[in-house]
Amino acid sequence: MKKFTTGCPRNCYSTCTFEVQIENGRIRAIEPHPANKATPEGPCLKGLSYVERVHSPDRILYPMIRRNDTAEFEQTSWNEALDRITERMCHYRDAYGPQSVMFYAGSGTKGLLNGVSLAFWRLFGGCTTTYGDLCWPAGLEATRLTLGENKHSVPWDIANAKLIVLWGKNSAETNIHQMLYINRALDSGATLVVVDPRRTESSERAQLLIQPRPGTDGAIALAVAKLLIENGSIDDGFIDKHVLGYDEFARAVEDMPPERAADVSSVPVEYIRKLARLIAETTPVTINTGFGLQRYTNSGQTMRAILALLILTGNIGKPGAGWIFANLQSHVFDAVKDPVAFYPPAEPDGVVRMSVSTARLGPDMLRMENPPLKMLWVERGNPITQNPETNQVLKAVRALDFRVVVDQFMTDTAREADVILPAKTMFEQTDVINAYWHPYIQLKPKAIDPPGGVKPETEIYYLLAQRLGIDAGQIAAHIPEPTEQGVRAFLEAKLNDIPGLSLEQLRKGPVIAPDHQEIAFSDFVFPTPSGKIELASDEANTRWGVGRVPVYSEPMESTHSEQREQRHKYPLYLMTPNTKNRIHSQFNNLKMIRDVSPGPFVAIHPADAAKRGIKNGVTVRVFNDRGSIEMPAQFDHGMRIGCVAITNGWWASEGGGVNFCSKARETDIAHGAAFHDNLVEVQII
Amino acid sequence: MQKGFIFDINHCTGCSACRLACIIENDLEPGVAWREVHTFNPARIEGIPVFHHSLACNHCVDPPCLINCPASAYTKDQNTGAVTIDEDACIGCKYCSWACPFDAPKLNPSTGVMEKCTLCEDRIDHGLAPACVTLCPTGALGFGDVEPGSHQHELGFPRSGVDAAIEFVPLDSNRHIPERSIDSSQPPGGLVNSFEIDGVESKISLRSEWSLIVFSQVVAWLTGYILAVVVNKVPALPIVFAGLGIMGVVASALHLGKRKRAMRALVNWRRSWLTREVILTSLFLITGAVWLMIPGRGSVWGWVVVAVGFAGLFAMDRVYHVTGTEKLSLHSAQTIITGIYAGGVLGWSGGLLMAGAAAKLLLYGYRKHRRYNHGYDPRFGISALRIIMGLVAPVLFWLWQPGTIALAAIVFAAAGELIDRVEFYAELYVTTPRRQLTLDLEKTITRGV
Repeated sequence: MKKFTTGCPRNCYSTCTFEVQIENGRIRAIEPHPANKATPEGPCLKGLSYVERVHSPDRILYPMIRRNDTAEFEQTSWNEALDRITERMCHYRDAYGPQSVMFYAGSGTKGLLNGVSLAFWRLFGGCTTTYGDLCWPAGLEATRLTLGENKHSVPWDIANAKLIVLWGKNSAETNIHQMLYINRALDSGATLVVVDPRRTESSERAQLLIQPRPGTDGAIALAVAKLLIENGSIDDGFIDKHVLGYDEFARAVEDMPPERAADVSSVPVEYIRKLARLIAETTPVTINTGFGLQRYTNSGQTMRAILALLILTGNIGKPGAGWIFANLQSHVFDAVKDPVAFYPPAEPDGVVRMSVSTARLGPDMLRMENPPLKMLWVERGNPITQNPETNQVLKAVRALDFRVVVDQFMTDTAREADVILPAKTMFEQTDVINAYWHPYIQLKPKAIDPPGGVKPETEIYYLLAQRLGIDAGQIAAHIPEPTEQGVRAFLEAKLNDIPGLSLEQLRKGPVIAPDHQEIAFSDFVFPTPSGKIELASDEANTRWGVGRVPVYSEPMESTHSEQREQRHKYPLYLMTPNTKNRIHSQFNNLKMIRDVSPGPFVAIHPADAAKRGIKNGVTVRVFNDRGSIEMPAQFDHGMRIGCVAITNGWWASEGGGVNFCSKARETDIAHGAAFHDNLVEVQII
Repeated sequence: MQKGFIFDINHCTGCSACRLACIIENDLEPGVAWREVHTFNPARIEGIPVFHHSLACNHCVDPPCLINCPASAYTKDQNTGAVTIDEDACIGCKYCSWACPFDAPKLNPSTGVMEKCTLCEDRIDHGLAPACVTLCPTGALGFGDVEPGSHQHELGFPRSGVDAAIEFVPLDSNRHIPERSIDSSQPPGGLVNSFEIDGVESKISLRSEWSLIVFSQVVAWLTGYILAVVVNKVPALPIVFAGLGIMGVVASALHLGKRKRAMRALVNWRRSWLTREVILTSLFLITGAVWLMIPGRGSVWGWVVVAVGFAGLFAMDRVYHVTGTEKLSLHSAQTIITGIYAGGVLGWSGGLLMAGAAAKLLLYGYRKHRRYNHGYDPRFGISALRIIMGLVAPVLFWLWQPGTIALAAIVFAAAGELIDRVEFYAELYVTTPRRQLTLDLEKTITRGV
């Protein structure tokens, strides 16, 4: 039996380190690896399910080609598949220009080698691709504008907090390893407050669960800020020394007395006061915001308002205190860090056209001209399921001439392909990964040979580049040779740029990023334009057109909207949170996961159900003007009345597909996807 | 030494990684895992905490599975305390799953035999903790020396009196149900009306146990028949007796997962009522048939056969006491009373018939009344049919014509008994963690939220 230490490359906070045991070329078991202090007890159930995922009989192992105008695919050879793709690519490049080919990559797998893809498309002559991000831009940009950089303290520092506010985060499901340290804090007397329209697994040990109307968190935060200022609970010394724009901010929050915030958020005013009291009276305070609350059309400002609470009280740069959103300290390979890295360039280079907002994937693709889009290449992603407004995405994808999808399984997106190429799993090619919660950089070594005809993406690109007649020197410079040695040499070269990092060192286990700060901002250096924490930001206004200081505005789609029609026709907020059972649209096709997660359902409060004559377990239709899905209703007394929830990531073919209802629209700042502005109605079928 | 699981309820988030770890370690088919995660208050009812129990086998000090297994397929390891099953010795009768209040033994439908948690003995031998413990991402599941029977009076944990080798770190006493910022203007949600507790499936169902109904009825009536032959000198029909007996035995063997190993059911006569039932009823059927065939049969030997028959019926009734179902000794469908009543009906003997009918009527009425008070549907139609056809009609027939046996009375009585026995199986339940959680949740709700 062979053993490898590896890191899980999913788009997940935890990015676990674990040991994988190989027997006769098969993954036999997975064991914890204590060297990663953030995930010492081992991976979650999804990590364990790799035992099935890698060897699943449903895995796509060979190139597949669509049989003429049917839903059927047939296996083909690499030669035939690549010839067909090359012929199409050349045709579109010659007839319309290379930008008629669209390259779409999702967040399916982390890794340094992911950079090879766009390098290939540049060698091809260019392409069209997306800008923005589905996940987290508003929060990243709010943090960058305010603190200058996206980083936070080590995951285990939360154990030192005396007040933990999980604001829109359900760690027990989406970051289970954090519970180890949250529990440690609670076991030694800390207080937990959860802000979430749902009662979640994470709120069970909370003293206070604030359940606001979705999208109104900013109003609550501003009212709490006003109370802190009024009651003299702010840290004047800290503010004088490190904060820019306090006076302007203090004037702005005058506008949000707690009574108004209570009215806006439907949270009784005493709870807003209680939250303010807890923040004022407890030290240190850690606020950990999730991702869901920053996917509304007002959420950049929401995030700035929440962050302000820590700044006012001096809860920055100290143990047990601080802002946990994203910790990009391990992103040492990125010349430009997120979110700036995914903004469209001010000056297009004429090669890669970054013109499709991923938040508006469908409508923007349909709108492309000079040249129009003809071909789509999708890898590491499942945009049919995960991007907003599925019907528009489907329309745009189906309007194309030719589609290539690289994937491990028959996802909703793969079903739309003309050619499907089999994708590797994390165990089949060596790569180096970083994280966005803990500070470790990890090696993800090749542990088994790819089964069947699977070729890693870099090898696919290598072969395509050769077929396209690209200069061998160029290929060598940008694409690793398709061997383990080639890949390692390529990675070694990348690591060479970073002092204190080598493959040899990574082979021994996870390595904390060089120059890492254990307690973020403990040096009180803030790389903003002013060098201070910016409660008031010029860039917020010049770049995004929002106020210099955070103020509250109603989300575009809301039950308090001015448009009467909207709020009467669709009175329910559809929340689409993540679940412990999946990473977005991955994993639920496995038997091991189906065992605990057999099918989609819509969680609804019995009072909302009763109004509609809905009984527990009956099939209902969840719909709005954009689309409709059907599934059983499940009573949830912990749900805020007026909200329903379906976990995102169910494939349409599994009866899910929450994005049939969401709208292709950007967040107020940073080109995020505001798909949580989403009103629906639910009715019995 | 007794090793066991140590479970911290406060740290468990119900993620089910433990269950999957078990599936992988033991190469199980997902769906028949040996460890289960049960949730208290899954509908998140206001004012009641939500928590989970991650449970596998508790490797009890004196394990009910081991005591009751007719084939003695279970052993308890002296060093670790691990209770394991020898799958090659198991006959697939599922009796252990009735006896275990923790739902630990699981039937593997593809092999037909029971399987269960082994405490990962192989891993322990290598100095490792069980896979579920090793792979619990929050550290909620621990492993070590435990003090059986202590630290387990938890909401939702079966209170069975069995010394289970598991320790709980109980729910924080200061763990408050979170104060929720719900508008007071919003209705609390019509709690009682809208609340629906998931139905708890009983492990014993008519569908799976029909063969046992046939067997128990046949044996009870054959015992009554021998009684009638001894007391009332009704004609001896050895061929019919033997034929029905063989039919009953064949039917009872049908519910075994491994019929070829049926003989192993005789092994554990020291401790298992199931073994005793099998031995005594077999002995009764054989001696009964032989006795009937002897031309000048003496009634002394007849009484011996009757005694063996009723001993078998007694054992048969005892078999069901492991389930934890309440008030079984007051159930009207107990086979020992059916045997007496059958003797009265078949022998057309007024005393026995009326005594049996009266006893059955009393117990039946008491039970229905009790169930009605507990909120169960008493099924008035079926109950009336059972009483009038099965008990009143035979008595009326006898009062009308005490001299001549009425065939209709036998048919009616047998039909009435069948209804009662079917109800008996429908009412049987096995204590399980899931059932206990549901009952405790119901209790918590009615105590007032």
